[in-house]
Amino acid sequence: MGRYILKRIWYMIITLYVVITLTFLAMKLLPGTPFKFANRLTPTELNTLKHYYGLDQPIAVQYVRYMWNLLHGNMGGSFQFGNESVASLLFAKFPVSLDLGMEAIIIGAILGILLGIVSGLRRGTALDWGTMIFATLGISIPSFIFAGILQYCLGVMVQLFPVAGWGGPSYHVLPVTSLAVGVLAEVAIFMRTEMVEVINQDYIVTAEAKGLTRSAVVFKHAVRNALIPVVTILGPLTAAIITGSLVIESIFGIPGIGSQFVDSIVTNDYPMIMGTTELYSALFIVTILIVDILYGIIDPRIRVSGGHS
Amino acid sequence: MRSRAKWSLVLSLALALSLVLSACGSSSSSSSSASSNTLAKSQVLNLASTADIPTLDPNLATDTTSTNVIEMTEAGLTRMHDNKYQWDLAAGAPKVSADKKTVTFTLRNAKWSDGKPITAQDFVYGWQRQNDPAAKPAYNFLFTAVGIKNASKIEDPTNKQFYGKYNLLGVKALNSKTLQIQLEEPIPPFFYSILSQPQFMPLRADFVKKQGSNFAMGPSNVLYSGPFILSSWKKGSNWTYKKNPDYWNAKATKLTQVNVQYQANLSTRVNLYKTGKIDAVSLTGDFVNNLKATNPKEIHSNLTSGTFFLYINQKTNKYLKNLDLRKAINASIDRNSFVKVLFNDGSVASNYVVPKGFTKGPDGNDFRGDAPVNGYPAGNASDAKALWNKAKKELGITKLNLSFLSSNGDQYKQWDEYLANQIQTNLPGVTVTINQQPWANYLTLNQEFKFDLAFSGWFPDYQDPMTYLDMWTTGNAQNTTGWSNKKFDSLIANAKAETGDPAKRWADMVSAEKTMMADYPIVPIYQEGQTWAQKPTVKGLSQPSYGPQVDFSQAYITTK
Repeated sequence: MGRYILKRIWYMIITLYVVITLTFLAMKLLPGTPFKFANRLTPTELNTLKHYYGLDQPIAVQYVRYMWNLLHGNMGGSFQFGNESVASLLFAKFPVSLDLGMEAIIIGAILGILLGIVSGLRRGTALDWGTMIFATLGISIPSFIFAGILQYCLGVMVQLFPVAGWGGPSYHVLPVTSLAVGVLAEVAIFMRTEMVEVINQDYIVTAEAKGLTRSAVVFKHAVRNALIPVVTILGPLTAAIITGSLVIESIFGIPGIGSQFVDSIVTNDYPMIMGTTELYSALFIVTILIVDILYGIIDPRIRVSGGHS
Repeated sequence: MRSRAKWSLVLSLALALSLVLSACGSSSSSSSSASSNTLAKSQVLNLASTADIPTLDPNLATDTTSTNVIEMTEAGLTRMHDNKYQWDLAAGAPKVSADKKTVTFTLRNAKWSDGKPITAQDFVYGWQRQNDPAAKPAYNFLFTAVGIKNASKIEDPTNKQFYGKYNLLGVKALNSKTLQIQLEEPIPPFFYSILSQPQFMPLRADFVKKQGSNFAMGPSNVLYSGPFILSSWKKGSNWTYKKNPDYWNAKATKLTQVNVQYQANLSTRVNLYKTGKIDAVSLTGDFVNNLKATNPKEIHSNLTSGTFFLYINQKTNKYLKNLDLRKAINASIDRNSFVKVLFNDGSVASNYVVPKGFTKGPDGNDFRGDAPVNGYPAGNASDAKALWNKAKKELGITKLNLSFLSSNGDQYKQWDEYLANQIQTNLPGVTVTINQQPWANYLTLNQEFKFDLAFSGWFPDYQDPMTYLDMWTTGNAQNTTGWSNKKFDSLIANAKAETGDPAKRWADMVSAEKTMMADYPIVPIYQEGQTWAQKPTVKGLSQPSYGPQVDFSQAYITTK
């Protein structure tokens, strides 16, 4: 297992390197300059600024310089925010997005799995239908619609929770709920389908024939096997929620990283584009590694084959 | 049991939806009746900003948010309030030499937030830093615009002798309380109002040098000289102002604290206003009618100094050199419906270059009182058709394809489609293709003349009609139309040289606009308005057309 993880980390570094290089090159294809008032500067003034930031150098030189700085932990200064260090901006904002995303994933996944199990076991009942209608709505209605509804009903009309902002637990309820609904729906549908399939397998019938209790059959055999595909979707889902909560962050005024990424691209804030991309890629790769390790815990067969490859 | 619980969740969601729908028609209670002027115990104002603060460094600030924060926390020689300048750190009107080229200010006894006195040397350092290329100043061209001695040479990188030599700038401390400014031409009319801008504020050399690269990075990395200090700034989230007890005019500041939260989403800001978490909110589109219906007494509206227009590229498109065609395009657009339907925020249709309510001339009249108030006649749909038929004959064409360049963004989609549709409908045979691009790319394509029509806006750099006019001279970097008119150029050149004769200068600027509006190098569309809701207990909060965008320096809260 240890060797397997080491090997995976090595691959992760290579992947990250490729992502950084490709992003760097793609970014240089963005039209325009990072200077806000480029249209009010004379060409000579523009060149002076480009020289100051090293943007007049050939791309190869800029690339080597960037990678060298990055190796030394220097991500550069943001063009949008008065040259403030990209690393400190990211460190200030990322934990907020992570907090929001993880809360939504954990709540959504746990409730989704439970709902999926129950409706899978009671296929065809009103409960099953209800869950599926709710889940279909949850997947097809975008999270920002829920956010708008929740904000208006519970924030403005009833005034039960704050309309926007980020502070104590009461501030978390509305944004986490808006994000968790989608996760819950997706996981519930997946879990239900898997449960229905697993429950009809021969080994379940055997287990029941051996006289195991209903709960032992369900939790030891059925749920464990049904979970594997669910864990697979949880990986990308986690990355998507943490990096994709931009609209929710904007609606609830949450000081996360989402808007930073979009703004950095629109304003050609090169160091910021690189910084956010690196963070997102690293997050994504790490999530996938965690999912792979989780597989091993749920299904020992995968752990064994992984260890030998 | 469980099944019922599940259904009730579905039901409650459905109920929630129906509540939202019904809420659209209902009205929230509005208790704004007679207002009083009794000061409330708590003088705390709560606001929301559409952007975080990009920078606190007056040399790097180019955006409205940074500028507003600096104008509330720092002081210049003058301060803009309700579109008029007041003496701020200047003790009163300066002494002006007979040739009107040397201006000498006496400073009042004022202190920085660390208790040390504000001196004339601090102004010299601030102004020099603003012209030091190493400080990467973004707006130093204002020093050229106002005609500070040697500024244009110091800012010109091709001038080897002067470039970057900021100590040659025409500003000098005669002693710690006397500041002497030298100008290249007689003092221009907008001189005192421009001195209120962040670029002309004092900075203390020892503090800036000690801070080094940390300068202006956070609230404690700045010294304050204005009505408020920035007491906290949580990046990406909120910031707080506290009254500055050391400000020389602290007795005029009634607010003890102003909390600002960064909220990018308009409906969120409106919801915060409705729940009383913020005391004022800017409105556009549907939200104007929504709040007008529920809280009519809280709605305020005025014109800003933003003007919006279409560039017409006659440099690389030979058809657009034809005056009748340009006039036809101008006449084809119904601007009144445009501002009424798409904005509904007080914006007005324009067929002029210099906006309304922005500057007064030596005669005391608004520029738009001396020039046609509502602009030059734009014509209507039938004029457009007649002009188009004339143009077709002159050019020998029956059809014309035009590309319409615009910045991308949800709001632009509607605007672009409306404008394109008007041109296509009223000029049969013309096809308009919309090309929406990210802002940085828009600028590049615009500068490279890769468009036929381009949607653009202009905001003033200083309080004078010239800030809207001199950009249209031949070869100016902003004049991306290819239009060139000798009469216009000479009127502008004359006006610039006539700062000693304000009346003649004013008349020349009025004629310059008239000359331009006979040629239609651009299609003026509208002057921006702004509508906002404000709690009835908030008094003295202003959003003027020049100066601080949201001015709460003399605002206060009443009991009802």
